[in-house]
Amino acid sequence: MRSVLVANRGEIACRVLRACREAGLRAVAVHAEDEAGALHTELADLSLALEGSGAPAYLNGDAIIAAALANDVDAIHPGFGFLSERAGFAQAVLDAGLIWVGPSPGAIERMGDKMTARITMREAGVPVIPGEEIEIESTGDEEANLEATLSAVREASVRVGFPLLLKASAGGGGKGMRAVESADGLDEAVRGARREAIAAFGDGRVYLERLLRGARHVEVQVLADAHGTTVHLGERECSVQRRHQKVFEEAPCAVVDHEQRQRMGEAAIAAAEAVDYVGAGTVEFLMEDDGTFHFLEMNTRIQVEHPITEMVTGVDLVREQLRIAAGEPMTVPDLVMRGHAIEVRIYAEDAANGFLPSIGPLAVFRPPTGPGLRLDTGVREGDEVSPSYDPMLAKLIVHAPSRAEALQRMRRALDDFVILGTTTNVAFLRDLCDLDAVVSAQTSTTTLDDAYPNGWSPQPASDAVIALGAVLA
Amino acid sequence: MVDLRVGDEVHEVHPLPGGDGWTVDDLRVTPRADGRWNVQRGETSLLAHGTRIGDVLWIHVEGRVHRLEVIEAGAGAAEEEGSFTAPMPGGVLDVLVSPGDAVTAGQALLVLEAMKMEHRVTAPYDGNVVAVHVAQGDRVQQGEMLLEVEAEEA
Repeated sequence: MRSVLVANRGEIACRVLRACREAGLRAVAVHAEDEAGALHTELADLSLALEGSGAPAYLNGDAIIAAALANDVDAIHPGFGFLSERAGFAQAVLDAGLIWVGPSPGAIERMGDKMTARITMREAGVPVIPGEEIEIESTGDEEANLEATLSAVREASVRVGFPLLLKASAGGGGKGMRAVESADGLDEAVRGARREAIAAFGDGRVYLERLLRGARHVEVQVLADAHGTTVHLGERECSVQRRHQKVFEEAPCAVVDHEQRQRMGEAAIAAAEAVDYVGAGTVEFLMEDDGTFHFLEMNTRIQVEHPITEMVTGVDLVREQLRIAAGEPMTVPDLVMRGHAIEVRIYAEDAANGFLPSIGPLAVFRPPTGPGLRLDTGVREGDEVSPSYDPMLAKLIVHAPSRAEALQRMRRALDDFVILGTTTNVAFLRDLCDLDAVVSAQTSTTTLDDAYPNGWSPQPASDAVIALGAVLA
Repeated sequence: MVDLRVGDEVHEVHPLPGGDGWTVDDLRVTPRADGRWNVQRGETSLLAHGTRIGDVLWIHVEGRVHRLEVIEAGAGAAEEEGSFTAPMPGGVLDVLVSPGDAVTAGQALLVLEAMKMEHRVTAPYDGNVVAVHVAQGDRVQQGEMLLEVEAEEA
């Protein structure tokens, strides 16, 4: 393996392209027509133009494979999102005689369909959330499918009980997901979830899970090579979410001790081994106060929040992915978690206005610097934030000896982060660092809803702001 | 004299040029060679970033970004009251009301889809729907008028 094409854009493309260059591999990028000058194209030895603009360009698997074959590429790394969890694409890469930097198409398929994954995990002895899969005879008539789903969900909801969570089998990232408090809201939730899931994934199948309120989202990083070694690299806690989108992640989880880490790690390894997993993956669990944990899903790719695991374990996960894809054994030492790492996701969005995505120029983009900081981003000053892509601009990661110091470092770093020209969630993230639940590590997946029942509001402008405004006007 | 809109408030400000900068009430604002600004009150000095894009001022002071709007003298009244514009480009998934409908505060009026997520446009007050300018399936641009709701007479 000498040349790797990164079939992605933005910060994760930058992350992987850098790893390729560090590994002495030829790094090949791809770019849509509207991203010809994007940061990730600069970090590559070569960037290949894709036809079209926006996300569809990066989703054109055939074009990407053709570009790889025409340019002496040996392997394709999908990053996350886009084609990363499409078994059909992974298979097409292999069929073209290329190396796929990821697990087998079979493993992607069995974990990607959330209902199949639940069944597979139950059979492997991994605890799943109490719930029910909704199996209906699917026809070409969406009205009939909807009616069949509605009646099956109504029946199953009685057994699962309220409140419950309605989830799209093809879903992820909160899309096609609805929390349902009582039977009254059930029909509307099914319609909305199906509509969103069909639009996003072309698949409207849903399943039900009991809504575990107050539980933590704790996930375990696993790594498996083709030589039969599967290890876990400890946990990350990602409970702080808005609309099921993670915004604040940390490693380790403050309430997971050594024994609990072993139990969850063993379950994660069992989950990976049940699908003959090879590569880097993440097994997500919901963990209750008493330590009981349930399988949520497995992400069969590198994850957005992988840097916090890298900070505390010292393992370069992307470099290991490349090593494993090349057929080499992994080079991971015995697990030691050193200090505490926190990541926040910086989005172009208006936290004061329902977290609506925002667009605009990055007229000023000055990230913080200093000890224990890492910034993974795909943008730089002067770039334009476009509505065509995911609104995540950057991930700010801090590492410090203790959790308290990591929080202090994050506060300082966010205060120093200057982004002008596009509305971002930086101030919202800064306020999160002061929330009682965050400071005391009592976070759960409802922390944000509890803290901001009527939405978040920014601090009012001081005299100094008005005075400078008067001069700039 | 300049009017600045900050959130819901409008501030009338009077910057006075003098020396190497400006005086605004009891504050001194001076530019720095690196493009940043000093904002000083007595012995206390703050470092600030600021830039103007169109009619919007972006200012970073003490770890926070603020967005101020410049209201030019003679400009007409801001956005017509009671009108709802698209907060971002997207598609209209569903229109839940028709002209003439009575609506209550918090009621969903319209469902927009953007970045594959659904966003509900809700009524901020009780009132009546006066006009609906979009239909299910329409694509809308940021700022495009969606519908108009007249507040109920108190």
